[in-house]
Amino acid sequence: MSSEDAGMAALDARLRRAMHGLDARAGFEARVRARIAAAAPVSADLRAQFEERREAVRRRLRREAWANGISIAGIGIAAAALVWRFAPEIGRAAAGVPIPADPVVIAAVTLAALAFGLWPVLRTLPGFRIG
Amino acid sequence: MPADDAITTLIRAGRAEEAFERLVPGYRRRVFGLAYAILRDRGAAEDLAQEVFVKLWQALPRYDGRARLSTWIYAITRNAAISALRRRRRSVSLSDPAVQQEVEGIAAQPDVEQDAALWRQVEALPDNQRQAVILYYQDERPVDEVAEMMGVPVNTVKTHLHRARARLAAALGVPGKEVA
Repeated sequence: MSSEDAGMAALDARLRRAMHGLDARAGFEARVRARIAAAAPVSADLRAQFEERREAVRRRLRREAWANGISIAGIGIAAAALVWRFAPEIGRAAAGVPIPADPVVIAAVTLAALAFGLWPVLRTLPGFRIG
Repeated sequence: MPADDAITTLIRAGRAEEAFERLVPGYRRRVFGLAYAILRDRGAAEDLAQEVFVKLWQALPRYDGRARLSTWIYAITRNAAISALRRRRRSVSLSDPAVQQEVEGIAAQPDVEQDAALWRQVEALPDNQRQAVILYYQDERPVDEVAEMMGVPVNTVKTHLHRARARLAAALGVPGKEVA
């Protein structure tokens, strides 16, 4: 072995000895556990805040859905009443069209048309389930 | 690492607690070594290593196994260390007397007293060379693992190591080969 090689081998050994001591202090795992335990209540608190906010949003959406439902029902009733009130006139206007002039039938058809048109909104109402 | 497969299996089985129990002793020296190589401060490296393991504990259930476990852990450690270094650089200036005192006092740390001259020279190496030397000699790691830890190609690590050894040899008066 040349003096260069011997010198480099000695340097390598010196480096290994010096670097080998690089480690965390004793009790590292216990300190990590303690930090995890300390962080847990914070994350639990954040989770609780998140749940609270989500529940508030859910309540607001439910309120809005009810308000929408009531508005739709009101519009539907008003439309049906108008059709009922003006059934003869509508019947005369639609004389050329082969539909029955019976106010009950016209009101029913109107409601069915409204329900069909508003189906996407109706199905968002709370507790509205078919099938 | 052979233990990685067992840890990954435990994570996939939803046994994060057991996986973590294996992960901490398996990666403690590596995470600490990488943190120290970047931060050059034992206290900060220890604090960062703890922070990394807390992050790993929180992220473990979301580990999807697409990247190797070791690659994932080293990336988290590197990013955390670089962020810590930036925070430190923002809060202090290199011309700050306290920082100069810290740099000069590195050799006086209890663990480096044994070979203060060597440590002074290691600390004086350029960042990449110093990191390669620390990670390579800490546990006589294969160069490819050092490359994975540093996030650089294997040949780059070889170059850093070659240059660092030549510099150290010259600085310490060891007969060695010249840097190409």
